[in-house]
Amino acid sequence: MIPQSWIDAYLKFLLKYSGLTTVVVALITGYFMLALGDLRLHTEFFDFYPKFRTSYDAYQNCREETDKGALSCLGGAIFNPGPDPYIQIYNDFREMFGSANTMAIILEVNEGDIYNPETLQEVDRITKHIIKAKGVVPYQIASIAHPKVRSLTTRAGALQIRELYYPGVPKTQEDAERVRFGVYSTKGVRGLYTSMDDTAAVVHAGFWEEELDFNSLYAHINELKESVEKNPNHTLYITGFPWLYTSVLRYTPQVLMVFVATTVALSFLLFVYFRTWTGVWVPIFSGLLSSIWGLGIAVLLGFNLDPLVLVIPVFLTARALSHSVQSMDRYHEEFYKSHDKEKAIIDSYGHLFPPAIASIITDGIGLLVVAVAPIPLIQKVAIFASFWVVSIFISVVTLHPIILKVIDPPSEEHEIKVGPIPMSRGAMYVGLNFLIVAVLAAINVTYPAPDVMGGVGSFRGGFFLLWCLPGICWFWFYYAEKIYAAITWVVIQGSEGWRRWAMVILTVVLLVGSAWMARQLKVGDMSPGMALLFPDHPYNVGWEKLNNKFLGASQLIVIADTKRPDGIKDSKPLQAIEEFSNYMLGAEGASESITIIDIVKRLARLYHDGDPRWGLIPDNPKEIGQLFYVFTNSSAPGDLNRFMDTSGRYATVLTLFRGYSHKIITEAIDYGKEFAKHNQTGDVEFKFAGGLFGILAAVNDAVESSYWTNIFMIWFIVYICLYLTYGTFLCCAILMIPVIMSQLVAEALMVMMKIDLNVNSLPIAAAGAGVGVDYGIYHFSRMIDSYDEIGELDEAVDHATATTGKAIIFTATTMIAGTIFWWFSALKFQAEMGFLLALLMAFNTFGGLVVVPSWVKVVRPTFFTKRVPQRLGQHLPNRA
Amino acid sequence: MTQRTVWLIAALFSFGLAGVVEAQPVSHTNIRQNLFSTCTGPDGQRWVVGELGRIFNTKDNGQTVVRTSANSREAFLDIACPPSGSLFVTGQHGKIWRSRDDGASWEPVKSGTERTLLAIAFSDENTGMAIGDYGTIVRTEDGGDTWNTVPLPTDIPLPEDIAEIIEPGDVLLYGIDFISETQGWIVGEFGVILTTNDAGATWVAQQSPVETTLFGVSFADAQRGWAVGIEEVLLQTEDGGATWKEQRVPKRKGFVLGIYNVAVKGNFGWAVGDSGFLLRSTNGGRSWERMQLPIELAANWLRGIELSADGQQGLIVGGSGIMMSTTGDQYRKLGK
Repeated sequence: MIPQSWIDAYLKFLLKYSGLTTVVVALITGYFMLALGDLRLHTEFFDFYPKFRTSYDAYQNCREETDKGALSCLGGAIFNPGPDPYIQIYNDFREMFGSANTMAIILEVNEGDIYNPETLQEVDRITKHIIKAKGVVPYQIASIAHPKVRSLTTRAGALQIRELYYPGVPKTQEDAERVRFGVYSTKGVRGLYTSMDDTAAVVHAGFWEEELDFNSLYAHINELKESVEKNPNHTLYITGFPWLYTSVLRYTPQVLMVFVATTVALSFLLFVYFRTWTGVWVPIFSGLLSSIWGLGIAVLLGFNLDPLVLVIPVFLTARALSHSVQSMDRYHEEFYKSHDKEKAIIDSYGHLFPPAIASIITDGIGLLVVAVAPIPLIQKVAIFASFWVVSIFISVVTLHPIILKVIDPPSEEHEIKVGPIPMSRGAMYVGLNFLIVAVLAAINVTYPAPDVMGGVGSFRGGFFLLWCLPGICWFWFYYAEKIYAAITWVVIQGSEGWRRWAMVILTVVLLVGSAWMARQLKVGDMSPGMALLFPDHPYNVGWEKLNNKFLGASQLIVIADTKRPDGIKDSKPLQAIEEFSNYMLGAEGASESITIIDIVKRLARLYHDGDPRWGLIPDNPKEIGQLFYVFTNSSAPGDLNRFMDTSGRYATVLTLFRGYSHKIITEAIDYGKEFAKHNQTGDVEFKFAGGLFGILAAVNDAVESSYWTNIFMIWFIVYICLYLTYGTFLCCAILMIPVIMSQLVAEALMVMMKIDLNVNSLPIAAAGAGVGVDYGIYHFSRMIDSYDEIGELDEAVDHATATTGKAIIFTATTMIAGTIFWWFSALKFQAEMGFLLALLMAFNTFGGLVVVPSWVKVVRPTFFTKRVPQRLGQHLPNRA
Repeated sequence: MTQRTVWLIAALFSFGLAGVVEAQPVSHTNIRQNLFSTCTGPDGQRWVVGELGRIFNTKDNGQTVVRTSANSREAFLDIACPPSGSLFVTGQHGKIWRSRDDGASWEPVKSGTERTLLAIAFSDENTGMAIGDYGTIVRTEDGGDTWNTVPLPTDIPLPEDIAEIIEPGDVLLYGIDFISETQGWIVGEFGVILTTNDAGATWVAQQSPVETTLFGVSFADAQRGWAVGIEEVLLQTEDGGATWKEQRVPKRKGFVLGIYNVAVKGNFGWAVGDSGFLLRSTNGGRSWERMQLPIELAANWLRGIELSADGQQGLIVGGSGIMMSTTGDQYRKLGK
């Protein structure tokens, strides 16, 4: 608990040196503003890849593979967990076998099949177009038109390694039929580069994470799509990670729209609440100042901002605003009592400092804790969001007293009077508004939303709700006071008499019920595209095509390491690879497994007049060596790159999957590891896991294990902060009830709404957990004040609710208004997250206003009953 | 023993038990391995073998297929179904596996060779031969308990340029067929055709009209037989192999393909080969017509063929798990 004397000293210092403080803050703000010019709003793929393995994983690994004791392993796991094994494999082999960051461009014919000259020519054109994309891995472009994808045939005793389009891009139907034969007769082509029903072909392209330029890629691909679809028989679908984030970035302008809408809505709410312009511009100013500081620090620390997590900054701005409202409200209250500006400032801020600082510190540390997740993206969010929240100490706690000292005090005359309007007329206006909307809906008039998306999609649904806004605003403007009063009355009733018991029981039911539901919350339960974009988004449509028409959209790459150069060119390792590849087909969701074995077998056949019975891995290494020699002599360099590295030490086992949930991914990897465990012959070591599956497994594992660590750490820190503020175990435990309840309810809602817990939603869910306790804090502080004044618990609690209730409900309204506009976002992720945060805030408010009083009244903590009523800060001027 | 090991053993045990009690049919879409050979047991069951230790059997000519395991992942190249009801499978490294309980259990038997054994056939219940790489012939007279090497004749006629570098005993042997308890034929590299009249104890070379590799041989009766090989070679004899002559194979534009196997029974004959090569005869092999297969079959090779005594029911197997059944002059791909 901060000594009251410090608070007084700080306030006096601020009032005395207000000029100096303002200049210092202005200078720092200016510095941050200059930095804002370099703000980068984009996704970096490396930000997703976990830097370290999770401590749990490291501990398990240490216990299983070393002789170290439990304690020594625990220490190592926490302080030096080592790199994430999958990401390490990925990084080690990225140069060799290419990026997991692949894009798929699917050309579908609307009638007939792809084996006609026009379509095959188009596949060739698309392939060539992609080669020119920025950041593409030149050797990781593959399609039936690409010379690297070859058909290998043994004809009349001769080996033929030819591009599928040999002798050139098909010009006649006969040429096209030849391509068809090549596709069908070469393993690892049909299903991979052409659809199983022959109606689509796909061009795969890998991209270097660090060189990808989303904007140029967007332009490059759109140009392609436009030209391809001039042929009415052709439709182009694009999917894959690079395109996912290209699509997401398209929605960035919406962030600005949401920001503007939120600001307008907040200003309106503020005006209706305070009925003074001061009441509007001071909180908005605080919010903006914190934004500048928060974004500024992100830029200065060299962080890029992922457009997906922008929900958090807007949320935090609303957070700053709500602190501002709390203090403004108290100031207004004190001022109307004493009509003495300075006294009102010291009185109100003297009382508000402890809860304000407690909640700022709690929020700040709570957000910082999120950084334990070993994923850079989450760490970056945690650091700048934490700083953002802490900056509220400057923008509100420090600057407000100065601002209030300088500006005119609110006078009764300045308050804009609202004449009473009969309820019936209000209802009529609103009804009229709804009627217009209904008529518009009936004649199917869409809301004229500005097309900021460049055709990708515009402000989604809910337009009619926007049409209703005038009616709602009008109603709110005239009846806000009554609504607040009604809610406060309801809230107080909620903890009166027997209802407090009902509330306590309800809390327990909610806790147990939502905890039960929340257990079903799974990490990475849906494809990355489905988690971020609506199902009808072209990206997801493309993903479905790739998944259903082809052998699967996801790849698991396992590296076979023979530990010596040319080790692959031996029978035992090849047999092990063949067996493993065959075994992997048994994994759930696996549709095909592709290795170098097929080429080896074809070559072996060639050696024996083409008889399939010789299509086996030869017994002796010499013969295998000869096969490879023959192959390299009759093929182009790099033809084997898909299957093995140039040194001949490593080979890949690529398994295609139709599924993509975290369960399928981890089960597939575990399934593969089981084989490796029981087949340790020493010939080859299987390294897990590359490809999209390896990355997703690493990311999801990190998210899964750090989520609960995060939540528990946040709860722990919130509790510690509460305890340091109030010094009572029991009351702090009561204050924790709404925090825990809201979190569990939010998780239960995530399960019900099928919102995925993933690398993007983790920081947001955690941020919500960290900032929810504020309402409880403000309310509880007021209860203490009231108890000191009144001396009777029930009455004191009601008095606290009656006085703070309005402000808390109002701040909750602002928090909800600060998040709910995301609901209209055409980006599914933002829409869901905004909605989730809004619900989380609503539940936190309910918890702080209803649950906490009920529990306090029921439990009757000795903190109150044994309390010697003391006047807070006796050295302060006496309260009226 | 850790708890985990106990569970593992329990799981394996129950799995093994389940295998004995009732084997589940396998869907054709789940058979993806290359299939090399098929034979018909005395009870009419058909057996199919392929790579990665695949053994399947079917009682309804491939409609429903059940997998059995020989606990091996090696390539099973050929299977023989002698009248005794035993089953024999050959593979790389001179390996022969035998089952005497209708495929329920398999035992490796010592063949006395390390050479790849490409084909196997029995002339009666106990006498059989496996042939393969480097002129290898191993022969058993006791139902597969012991195997002895049979030398090749030294007077096999070889093409002049080849004769200088290759010993007649080193000729690679691909196909074998017995028509009676004593009479049988072997074909191999350089157009080599061998015949026996003493159940394989000794072999003599026959006059071959070609010098190119022959993969398969099959006789309808003691007089009428066919041999097939690379470059669409189809040979026929009507005098028990005293004279062989080339039969006309309908040509198709494009590559000249290898023919891997042939069978003629009753009026019906089929010959299979690379890239969906399929010949059909409806007049007991006097003339052949070439079938046009759909692309998913045409893109694969066909290797094994087995016909019922009247030629009415047949089974053809090939690459990527292809199985085709024939009924009379009709053929059908099994599974989707």
